Amino acid sequence: MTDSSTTDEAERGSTEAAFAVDDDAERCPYCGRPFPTEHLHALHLGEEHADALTEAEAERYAAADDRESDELFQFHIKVLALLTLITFVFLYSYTFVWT
Amino acid sequence: MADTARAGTYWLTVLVTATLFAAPARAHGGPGITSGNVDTPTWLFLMTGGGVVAVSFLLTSFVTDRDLLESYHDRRVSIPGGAAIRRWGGPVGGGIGLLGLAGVVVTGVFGPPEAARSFAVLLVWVVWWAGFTASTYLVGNSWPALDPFGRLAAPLAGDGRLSLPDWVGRWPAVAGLLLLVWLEVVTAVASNPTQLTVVVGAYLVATVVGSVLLGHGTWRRQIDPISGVFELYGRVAPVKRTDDGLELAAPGAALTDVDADATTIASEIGFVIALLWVTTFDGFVATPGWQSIAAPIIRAGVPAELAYFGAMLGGYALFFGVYWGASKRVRSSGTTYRSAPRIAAAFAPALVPIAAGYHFGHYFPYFLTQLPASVVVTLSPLSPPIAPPVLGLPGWVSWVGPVAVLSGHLLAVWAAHTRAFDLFTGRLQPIRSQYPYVVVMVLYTITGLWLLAQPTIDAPFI
Repeated sequence: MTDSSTTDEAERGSTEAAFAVDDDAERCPYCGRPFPTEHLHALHLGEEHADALTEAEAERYAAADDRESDELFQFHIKVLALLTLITFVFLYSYTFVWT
Repeated sequence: MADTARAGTYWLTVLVTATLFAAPARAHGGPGITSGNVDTPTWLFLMTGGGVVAVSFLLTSFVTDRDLLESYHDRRVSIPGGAAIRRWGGPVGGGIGLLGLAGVVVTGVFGPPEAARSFAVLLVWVVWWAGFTASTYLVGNSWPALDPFGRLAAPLAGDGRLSLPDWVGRWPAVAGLLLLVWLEVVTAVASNPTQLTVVVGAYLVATVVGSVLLGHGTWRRQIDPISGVFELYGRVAPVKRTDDGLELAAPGAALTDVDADATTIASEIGFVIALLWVTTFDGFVATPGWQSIAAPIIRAGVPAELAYFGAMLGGYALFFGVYWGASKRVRSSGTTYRSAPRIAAAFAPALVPIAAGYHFGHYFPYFLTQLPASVVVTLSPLSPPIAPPVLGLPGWVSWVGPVAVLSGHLLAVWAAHTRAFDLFTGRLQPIRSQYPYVVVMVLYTITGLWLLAQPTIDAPFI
């Protein structure tokens, strides 16, 4: 079950089976896939339907992509902090606790 | 991004190497191999294993380039001469398979009764179940060419006279797999040539009857546990079969092609979980831990076989439940509307490398030890030498267990990561979606390494 950018009825049908969703969910106008947040929907537009976007949608995607990059950067800072912590926990365990 | 990816891979390698050399643990091998104790304190050994998996997840979070990930699993290189190998592989492999089957039946009935001298036992357990199985996940699945059971049943099988209701799905294969492993544990089929021949014969009859009644395709797809296991293992391997040749894929790349709609979603997931569970069960019943759990039950009058059966079913239900629960949690951790069964089906194949890792860790030392005996006995199957030679293993072999288990887990984390980018949107959602699985995976690594670190005993009470 992968996403494709087709818009035909069959795709909509299989999309329904793949999602458990409330009726008022925001849906992609191109493939009918539902999204829980506006941000994810905007990202999806650029990733799957880049060729078909209107200007407004392309702007939404660009803004969402910017935000995603910022958040990913922050996330990676946290990951690095965690990696450092783990390194020291192991270093400590092997040098002091074990021997 | 490619740079960070390379840096990630580099640090991953450094970390794994450092970890493995810092934690000298002696794993137990297959049957007949003495076990030692872990040199590092067990808690540190387990924590290190869990830590490596967690860290590998954190490092994969740096690889977020969709094009890179897509090209990783889409890239295929065709193998020159693949068509010829395929053309000749069928008849040659089929001949070898039939010869092997005939050899097992003849020596099982007329050969020597001792396991160490029996061609039937050595061929089935050493060459086939340890060696051949390893080749299906390390090289490629050649069982369709080799399979003597399917070949004998094929001329008789048509389109099938009966058809199964849809809900049956792949559950018969799950039941078959659990049943085969249970038989292996509670009977002497692993060492008694006569019992082994009975099981092989029964399997042949089942294949023929099943293929005639249901059609060969249905038999292989929904009922036959052995083809199912090799098909799954084959997805880990680099060599893939195409319509008319062979091609190479990156390790684990085919784990993202999910065929959940072939039967029913739950049963397809169920089969992957069954494969994972039986490899764990094999190790679990040979630990003192199991002995102390089982002792009061068996003292209360429950037959030992039944206790093993109960443990087999209970453990399977637990594994399935935990995986299903984690898949449900993905809906909230990744903020997605995707339905839990679809999520579970999408990520289930990523678990196969873990099963392969456990299989390799468990059977590789056993395979090496018994290889000379297998060769010598094959040369004179009906009158083998009194004591066929076995190989004394060098010390480094004790590393194979932990390395194989960890490698399996790392490949699984990577396969799930690439799959998540296929399934979810943006760059953070795919990473966050993996939280529940990572927690489960770390716990499972710790469990698996704990089993490896236990002293091995003979499965008790039987």
